[in-house]
Amino acid sequence: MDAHPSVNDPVLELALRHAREQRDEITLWLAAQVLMTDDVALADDKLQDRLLVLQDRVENMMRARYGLPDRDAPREHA
Amino acid sequence: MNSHEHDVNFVNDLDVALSSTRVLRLALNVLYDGMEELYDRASDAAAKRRFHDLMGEVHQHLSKAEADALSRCGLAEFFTVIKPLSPLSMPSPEAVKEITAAVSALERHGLLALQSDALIRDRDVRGSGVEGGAEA
Repeated sequence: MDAHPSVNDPVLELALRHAREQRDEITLWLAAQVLMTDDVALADDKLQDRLLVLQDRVENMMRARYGLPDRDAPREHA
Repeated sequence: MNSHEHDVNFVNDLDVALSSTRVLRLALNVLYDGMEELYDRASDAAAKRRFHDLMGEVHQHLSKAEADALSRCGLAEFFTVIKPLSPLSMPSPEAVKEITAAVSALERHGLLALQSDALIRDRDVRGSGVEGGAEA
């Protein structure tokens, strides 16, 4: 069986390591994701947007921990 | 059916009735517990209010879905709205007349549910092979 192309991928390894290190925040992010998959939330654009804002806030907490800019912060072009 | 079997069936019925909202309720509780402290610590009062409004709105939506699910299951235990009168402190005759009239009105409109109703419906539904056909 051929090795999966992502085996030994350092980026994937780093992402998984960060995920393990931030279990609490990832739990919150997933909780928001679960609520967004509810039928009522899916049918309600405003509710969906507000849950997205909450989820973005969780992501920004994780970004801040690693010194990364907020999710919506303007990016520098390479 | 003995008392223990009734308790087990009751818990099973609850389990089935709330299966569609259980994960959502868990997610809401996790999110609320995890984020509330963060928002309460923050100085942004508007963001804090928006967060609590959002959590309250989702809670209301879930509560309605849970109540609907329970009513479809015919769990009469959740719809007992009348407390028994105490023989040691009976209300006045005028009040008893009012209570009697009110209970009669509820019965006339089919709004009285007894605990035994749930068991009878449960047995009837299982006997006829129909799923979830009971009315609240």
